[in-house]
Amino acid sequence: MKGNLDALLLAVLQSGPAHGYEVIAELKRRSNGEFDMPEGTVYPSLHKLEREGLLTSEWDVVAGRRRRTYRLTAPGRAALAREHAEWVRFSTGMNAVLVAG
Amino acid sequence: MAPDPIDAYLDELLARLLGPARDVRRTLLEAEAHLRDAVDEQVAAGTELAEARRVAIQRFGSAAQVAATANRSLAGRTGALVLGALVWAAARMVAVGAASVGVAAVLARALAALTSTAFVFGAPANAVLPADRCAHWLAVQPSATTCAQAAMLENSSDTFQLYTGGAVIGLVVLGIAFTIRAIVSRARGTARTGIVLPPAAVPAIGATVFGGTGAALLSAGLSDVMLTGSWGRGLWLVDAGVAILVALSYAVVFARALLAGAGTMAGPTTAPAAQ
Repeated sequence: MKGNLDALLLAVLQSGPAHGYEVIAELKRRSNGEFDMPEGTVYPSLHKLEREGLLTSEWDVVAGRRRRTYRLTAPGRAALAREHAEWVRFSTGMNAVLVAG
Repeated sequence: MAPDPIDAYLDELLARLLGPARDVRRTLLEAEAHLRDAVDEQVAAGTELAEARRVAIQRFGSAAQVAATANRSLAGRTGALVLGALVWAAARMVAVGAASVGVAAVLARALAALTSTAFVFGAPANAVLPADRCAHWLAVQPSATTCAQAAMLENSSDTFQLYTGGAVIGLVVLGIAFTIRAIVSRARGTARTGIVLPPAAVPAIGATVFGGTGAALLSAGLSDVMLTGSWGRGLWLVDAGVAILVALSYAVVFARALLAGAGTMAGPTTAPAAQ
Protein backbone atom coordinates (compact mmCIF):
# COMPACT_ATOMS: atom_id res chain seq x y z
CA MET A 1 0.00 0.00 0.00
CA LYS A 2 2.92 2.30 0.87
CA GLY A 3 4.50 1.65 -2.54
CA ASN A 4 1.13 2.15 -4.19
CA LEU A 5 0.68 5.56 -2.58
CA ASP A 6 4.04 6.63 -4.01
CA ALA A 7 2.95 5.57 -7.51
CA LEU A 8 -0.39 7.39 -7.13
CA LEU A 9 1.34 10.61 -6.07
CA LEU A 10 3.70 10.40 -9.06
CA ALA A 11 0.70 9.76 -11.34
CA VAL A 12 -1.18 12.81 -10.06
CA LEU A 13 1.90 15.00 -10.60
CA GLN A 14 2.28 13.74 -14.17
CA SER A 15 -0.50 16.15 -15.16
CA GLY A 16 1.62 19.08 -13.99
CA PRO A 17 3.16 20.73 -10.91
CA ALA A 18 0.89 21.07 -7.90
CA HIS A 19 1.11 21.85 -4.22
CA GLY A 20 0.31 19.30 -1.53
CA TYR A 21 -3.32 20.28 -1.05
CA GLU A 22 -4.03 20.00 -4.79
CA VAL A 23 -2.25 16.64 -5.03
CA ILE A 24 -4.35 15.19 -2.22
CA ALA A 25 -7.62 16.69 -3.49
CA GLU A 26 -6.91 15.35 -6.98
CA LEU A 27 -6.02 11.91 -5.59
CA LYS A 28 -9.34 11.78 -3.76
CA ARG A 29 -11.25 13.05 -6.78
CA ARG A 30 -9.73 10.57 -9.24
CA SER A 31 -10.26 7.65 -6.88
CA ASN A 32 -13.85 8.68 -6.05
CA GLY A 33 -12.86 8.90 -2.39
CA GLU A 34 -11.41 5.36 -2.39
CA PHE A 35 -8.06 6.61 -1.05
CA ASP A 36 -9.22 8.29 2.12
CA MET A 37 -6.04 8.34 4.23
CA PRO A 38 -5.42 11.12 6.80
CA GLU A 39 -4.33 13.97 4.54
CA GLY A 40 -1.41 14.99 6.75
CA THR A 41 0.26 11.60 6.34
CA VAL A 42 0.69 12.20 2.58
CA TYR A 43 3.31 14.93 3.12
CA PRO A 44 6.00 12.59 4.51
CA SER A 45 5.56 10.49 1.34
CA LEU A 46 6.03 13.57 -0.85
CA HIS A 47 9.17 14.46 1.13
CA LYS A 48 10.52 10.93 0.75
CA LEU A 49 9.91 10.97 -3.03
CA GLU A 50 11.77 14.27 -3.18
CA ARG A 51 14.73 12.84 -1.21
CA GLU A 52 14.80 9.96 -3.72
CA GLY A 53 15.03 12.48 -6.56
CA LEU A 54 11.67 11.55 -8.11
CA LEU A 55 10.19 14.96 -7.30
CA THR A 56 11.51 18.46 -6.83
CA SER A 57 9.77 21.21 -4.94
CA GLU A 58 10.00 24.92 -4.30
CA TRP A 59 8.17 27.55 -2.29
CA ASP A 60 5.52 29.58 -4.10
CA VAL A 61 3.17 32.22 -2.83
CA VAL A 62 -0.33 31.49 -4.14
CA ALA A 63 -3.25 33.68 -3.04
CA GLY A 64 -1.13 35.21 -0.28
CA ARG A 65 -0.24 31.82 1.21
CA ARG A 66 3.18 30.19 1.10
CA ARG A 67 2.96 26.74 -0.48
CA ARG A 68 5.39 24.07 -1.53
CA THR A 69 4.84 23.18 -5.19
CA TYR A 70 5.91 19.69 -6.31
CA ARG A 71 7.09 18.78 -9.77
CA LEU A 72 7.88 15.39 -11.36
CA THR A 73 11.54 14.91 -12.39
CA ALA A 74 12.83 12.78 -15.30
CA PRO A 75 13.73 9.91 -12.89
CA GLY A 76 10.26 10.36 -11.39
CA ARG A 77 8.69 9.94 -14.83
CA ALA A 78 10.76 6.80 -15.43
CA ALA A 79 9.79 5.38 -12.03
CA LEU A 80 6.12 6.05 -12.80
CA ALA A 81 6.39 4.28 -16.17
CA ARG A 82 7.93 1.25 -14.41
CA GLU A 83 5.21 1.21 -11.74
CA HIS A 84 2.57 1.51 -14.42
CA ALA A 85 3.94 -1.39 -16.50
CA GLU A 86 4.22 -3.48 -13.34
CA TRP A 87 0.63 -2.71 -12.39
CA VAL A 88 -0.71 -3.55 -15.85
CA ARG A 89 1.07 -6.89 -15.74
CA PHE A 90 -0.24 -7.62 -12.22
CA SER A 91 -3.83 -6.55 -12.88
CA THR A 92 -3.95 -8.43 -16.20
CA GLY A 93 -2.87 -11.57 -14.37
CA MET A 94 -5.42 -11.05 -11.56
CA ASN A 95 -8.16 -10.35 -14.07
CA ALA A 96 -7.38 -13.43 -16.12
CA VAL A 97 -7.65 -15.64 -13.05
CA LEU A 98 -10.57 -13.98 -11.25
CA VAL A 99 -12.78 -13.28 -14.26
CA ALA A 100 -12.00 -16.41 -16.26
CA GLY A 101 -12.32 -18.56 -13.10
CA MET B 1 -13.19 35.50 19.81
CA ALA B 2 -12.59 31.79 20.34
CA PRO B 3 -8.99 30.61 19.88
CA ASP B 4 -8.24 29.10 16.47
CA PRO B 5 -8.02 25.30 16.90
CA ILE B 6 -5.66 25.20 13.89
CA ASP B 7 -3.06 27.16 15.89
CA ALA B 8 -3.41 24.72 18.78
CA TYR B 9 -3.13 21.82 16.33
CA LEU B 10 0.07 23.25 14.79
CA ASP B 11 1.55 23.80 18.28
CA GLU B 12 0.91 20.16 19.11
CA LEU B 13 2.37 19.01 15.79
CA LEU B 14 5.50 21.12 16.35
CA ALA B 15 5.97 19.62 19.81
CA ARG B 16 5.77 16.10 18.37
CA LEU B 17 7.93 16.45 15.22
CA LEU B 18 11.54 15.29 15.40
CA GLY B 19 14.45 15.98 13.08
CA PRO B 20 16.40 18.84 11.52
CA ALA B 21 14.85 22.27 12.09
CA ARG B 22 14.34 22.99 8.41
CA ASP B 23 12.40 19.73 7.87
CA VAL B 24 10.20 20.46 10.87
CA ARG B 25 9.59 24.04 9.71
CA ARG B 26 8.70 22.87 6.23
CA THR B 27 6.24 20.24 7.48
CA LEU B 28 4.65 22.83 9.74
CA LEU B 29 4.30 25.43 6.96
CA GLU B 30 2.82 22.88 4.58
CA ALA B 31 0.40 21.68 7.26
CA GLU B 32 -0.77 25.23 7.95
CA ALA B 33 -1.26 26.08 4.25
CA HIS B 34 -3.15 22.82 3.77
CA LEU B 35 -5.44 23.35 6.77
CA ARG B 36 -6.19 26.98 5.88
CA ASP B 37 -6.87 26.01 2.24
CA ALA B 38 -9.27 23.33 3.43
CA VAL B 39 -11.04 25.83 5.71
CA ASP B 40 -11.30 28.45 2.93
CA GLU B 41 -12.74 25.88 0.54
CA GLN B 42 -15.44 24.78 2.98
CA VAL B 43 -16.29 28.32 4.06
CA ALA B 44 -16.66 29.30 0.39
CA ALA B 45 -19.06 26.36 0.02
CA GLY B 46 -21.18 27.69 2.88
CA THR B 47 -19.86 25.81 5.93
CA GLU B 48 -19.68 27.72 9.19
CA LEU B 49 -16.08 28.71 10.16
CA ALA B 50 -15.80 26.70 13.40
CA GLU B 51 -17.19 23.59 11.71
CA ALA B 52 -14.88 24.07 8.71
CA ARG B 53 -11.86 24.20 11.03
CA ARG B 54 -12.94 21.10 12.90
CA VAL B 55 -13.45 19.12 9.69
CA ALA B 56 -10.14 20.32 8.19
CA ILE B 57 -8.23 19.10 11.26
CA GLN B 58 -10.14 15.83 11.36
CA ARG B 59 -9.33 15.09 7.70
CA PHE B 60 -5.68 16.00 8.19
CA GLY B 61 -5.29 13.34 10.89
CA SER B 62 -4.32 13.64 14.56
CA ALA B 63 -1.05 15.46 15.33
CA ALA B 64 0.22 12.22 16.88
CA GLN B 65 -0.53 10.26 13.70
CA VAL B 66 0.94 12.84 11.29
CA ALA B 67 4.07 13.33 13.44
CA ALA B 68 4.53 9.56 13.79
CA THR B 69 4.43 9.16 9.99
CA ALA B 70 6.88 12.02 9.47
CA ASN B 71 9.20 10.81 12.25
CA ARG B 72 9.16 7.25 10.91
CA SER B 73 10.29 8.38 7.47
CA LEU B 74 13.09 10.24 9.22
CA ALA B 75 14.15 7.28 11.35
CA GLY B 76 16.71 5.88 8.92
CA ARG B 77 18.55 9.19 8.75
CA THR B 78 18.16 10.33 12.35
CA GLY B 79 20.68 7.96 13.94
CA ALA B 80 23.50 9.02 11.63
CA LEU B 81 22.60 12.72 11.95
CA VAL B 82 22.52 12.62 15.76
CA LEU B 83 25.77 10.66 15.87
CA GLY B 84 27.39 13.16 13.50
CA ALA B 85 26.24 16.13 15.59
CA LEU B 86 27.55 14.52 18.79
CA VAL B 87 30.89 13.59 17.22
CA TRP B 88 31.44 17.15 16.00
CA ALA B 89 30.37 18.64 19.33
CA ALA B 90 32.86 16.31 21.03
CA ALA B 91 35.57 17.27 18.52
CA ARG B 92 35.04 20.97 19.27
CA MET B 93 35.29 20.25 22.98
CA VAL B 94 38.53 18.27 22.46
CA ALA B 95 39.88 21.29 20.53
CA VAL B 96 39.05 23.50 23.53
CA GLY B 97 40.78 20.96 25.78
CA ALA B 98 43.90 20.85 23.58
CA ALA B 99 44.12 24.65 23.50
CA SER B 100 43.68 24.75 27.32
CA VAL B 101 46.55 22.29 27.80
CA GLY B 102 48.80 24.46 25.62
CA VAL B 103 47.82 27.62 27.51
CA ALA B 104 48.42 25.87 30.86
CA ALA B 105 51.95 24.87 29.77
CA VAL B 106 52.83 28.47 28.91
CA LEU B 107 51.26 29.80 32.13
CA ALA B 108 53.13 27.20 34.19
CA ARG B 109 56.43 28.45 32.76
CA ALA B 110 55.39 32.04 33.50
CA LEU B 111 54.44 31.14 37.08
CA ALA B 112 57.78 29.36 37.52
CA ALA B 113 59.56 32.53 36.41
CA LEU B 114 57.53 34.61 38.89
CA THR B 115 57.81 32.20 41.85
CA SER B 116 60.25 29.33 41.57
CA THR B 117 60.72 26.25 39.46
CA ALA B 118 60.60 24.23 42.69
CA PHE B 119 57.11 25.54 43.58
CA VAL B 120 55.70 24.82 40.14
CA PHE B 121 57.52 21.66 39.08
CA GLY B 122 59.15 20.28 42.24
CA ALA B 123 58.09 16.96 43.75
CA PRO B 124 56.55 17.05 47.25
CA ALA B 125 59.23 17.45 49.97
CA ASN B 126 58.45 14.08 51.55
CA ALA B 127 58.29 12.21 48.21
CA VAL B 128 60.32 9.04 47.85
CA LEU B 129 61.95 9.16 44.42
CA PRO B 130 62.80 5.73 42.98
CA ALA B 131 66.53 5.14 42.55
CA ASP B 132 66.34 3.99 38.92
CA ARG B 133 64.35 7.11 37.94
CA CYS B 134 66.87 9.28 39.83
CA ALA B 135 69.73 7.80 37.80
CA HIS B 136 67.87 8.60 34.58
CA TRP B 137 66.95 12.17 35.62
CA LEU B 138 70.46 12.95 36.78
CA ALA B 139 71.83 11.64 33.48
CA VAL B 140 69.51 13.79 31.30
CA GLN B 141 69.74 16.90 33.54
CA PRO B 142 73.51 17.26 34.10
CA SER B 143 73.14 20.70 35.75
CA ALA B 144 71.28 19.10 38.69
CA THR B 145 73.20 18.10 41.81
CA THR B 146 70.43 16.22 43.67
CA CYS B 147 67.78 13.80 42.55
CA ALA B 148 64.97 16.15 43.62
CA GLN B 149 66.49 18.95 41.53
CA ALA B 150 66.90 16.67 38.50
CA ALA B 151 63.29 15.49 38.86
CA MET B 152 62.07 19.09 39.02
CA LEU B 153 64.02 20.16 35.90
CA GLU B 154 62.96 17.06 34.01
CA ASN B 155 59.30 17.69 34.98
CA SER B 156 59.59 21.29 33.77
CA SER B 157 60.99 20.39 30.36
CA ASP B 158 58.81 17.28 29.88
CA THR B 159 55.66 19.15 30.82
CA PHE B 160 56.41 21.98 28.45
CA GLN B 161 57.27 19.70 25.53
CA LEU B 162 54.43 17.23 26.07
CA TYR B 163 51.77 19.83 26.83
CA THR B 164 52.55 22.22 24.00
CA GLY B 165 53.38 19.38 21.60
CA GLY B 166 50.13 17.59 22.42
CA ALA B 167 48.14 20.79 22.11
CA VAL B 168 49.65 21.67 18.72
CA ILE B 169 49.22 18.16 17.30
CA GLY B 170 45.64 17.99 18.62
CA LEU B 171 44.69 21.35 17.14
CA VAL B 172 46.32 20.56 13.78
CA VAL B 173 44.51 17.20 13.49
CA LEU B 174 41.18 18.76 14.43
CA GLY B 175 41.80 21.72 12.10
CA ILE B 176 42.33 19.30 9.20
CA ALA B 177 39.17 17.39 10.15
CA PHE B 178 37.09 20.59 10.34
CA THR B 179 38.46 21.78 6.99
CA ILE B 180 37.61 18.49 5.28
CA ARG B 181 34.13 18.63 6.79
CA ALA B 182 33.58 22.20 5.59
CA ILE B 183 34.72 21.31 2.06
CA VAL B 184 32.52 18.21 1.93
CA SER B 185 29.41 19.98 3.20
CA ARG B 186 29.95 22.88 0.80
CA ALA B 187 30.35 20.46 -2.11
CA ARG B 188 27.11 18.72 -1.10
CA GLY B 189 25.37 22.00 -0.36
CA THR B 190 24.22 20.55 2.95
CA ALA B 191 25.95 22.94 5.33
CA ARG B 192 23.95 23.65 8.48
CA THR B 193 21.07 21.39 7.53
CA GLY B 194 21.90 18.56 9.93
CA ILE B 195 20.53 17.89 13.38
CA VAL B 196 20.92 20.84 15.71
CA LEU B 197 21.64 19.83 19.29
CA PRO B 198 19.80 21.80 21.98
CA PRO B 199 21.96 24.94 22.38
CA ALA B 200 22.32 24.48 26.13
CA ALA B 201 23.38 20.82 25.94
CA VAL B 202 27.00 21.14 24.85
CA PRO B 203 27.86 24.05 27.20
CA ALA B 204 26.30 22.09 30.09
CA ILE B 205 28.52 19.11 29.30
CA GLY B 206 31.56 21.40 28.89
CA ALA B 207 30.97 23.15 32.20
CA THR B 208 30.58 19.78 33.95
CA VAL B 209 33.62 18.11 32.36
CA PHE B 210 36.00 21.07 32.76
CA GLY B 211 34.56 21.99 36.17
CA GLY B 212 35.02 18.44 37.45
CA THR B 213 38.54 18.27 36.04
CA GLY B 214 39.34 21.67 37.57
CA ALA B 215 38.09 20.57 41.00
CA ALA B 216 40.18 17.38 40.85
CA LEU B 217 43.28 19.33 39.78
CA LEU B 218 42.68 21.92 42.49
CA SER B 219 42.50 19.27 45.21
CA ALA B 220 45.65 17.66 43.76
CA GLY B 221 47.41 21.04 43.98
CA LEU B 222 46.19 21.83 47.50
CA SER B 223 47.37 18.45 48.80
CA ASP B 224 50.52 18.49 46.61
CA VAL B 225 49.82 15.04 45.19
CA MET B 226 52.50 13.06 43.41
CA LEU B 227 51.30 10.59 40.82
CA THR B 228 53.49 8.43 38.61
CA GLY B 229 54.95 10.91 36.14
CA SER B 230 52.83 13.87 37.34
CA TRP B 231 53.59 16.21 40.21
CA GLY B 232 54.26 19.84 41.07
CA ARG B 233 52.01 21.93 43.30
CA GLY B 234 52.19 25.01 41.06
CA LEU B 235 51.59 22.95 37.92
CA TRP B 236 48.44 21.36 39.44
CA LEU B 237 47.18 24.80 40.45
CA VAL B 238 47.81 26.35 37.01
CA ASP B 239 46.06 23.41 35.32
CA ALA B 240 43.18 23.77 37.77
CA GLY B 241 42.92 27.50 37.11
CA VAL B 242 42.77 27.04 33.34
CA ALA B 243 40.21 24.22 33.60
CA ILE B 244 38.02 26.28 35.95
CA LEU B 245 38.19 29.31 33.64
CA VAL B 246 37.12 27.16 30.68
CA ALA B 247 34.31 25.69 32.82
CA LEU B 248 33.16 29.20 33.75
CA SER B 249 33.15 30.21 30.07
CA TYR B 250 30.98 27.19 29.26
CA ALA B 251 28.73 28.11 32.19
CA VAL B 252 28.25 31.62 30.78
CA VAL B 253 27.36 30.21 27.33
CA PHE B 254 25.01 27.76 29.07
CA ALA B 255 23.25 30.55 30.97
CA ARG B 256 22.90 32.61 27.79
CA ALA B 257 21.44 29.64 25.90
CA LEU B 258 18.88 29.13 28.68
CA LEU B 259 17.92 32.81 28.65
CA ALA B 260 17.64 32.86 24.83
CA GLY B 261 15.53 29.68 25.00
CA ALA B 262 13.23 31.30 27.58
CA GLY B 263 12.92 34.34 25.30
CA THR B 264 11.79 32.33 22.27
CA MET B 265 9.35 30.33 24.36
CA ALA B 266 7.77 33.52 25.67
CA GLY B 267 7.62 35.09 22.19
CA PRO B 268 4.72 33.42 20.39
CA THR B 269 2.43 33.18 23.43
CA THR B 270 2.75 36.80 24.47
CA ALA B 271 2.67 38.27 20.94
CA PRO B 272 -0.77 39.56 19.99
CA ALA B 273 -2.47 37.42 17.36
CA ALA B 274 -2.29 38.82 13.82
CA GLN B 275 -5.58 39.61 12.13
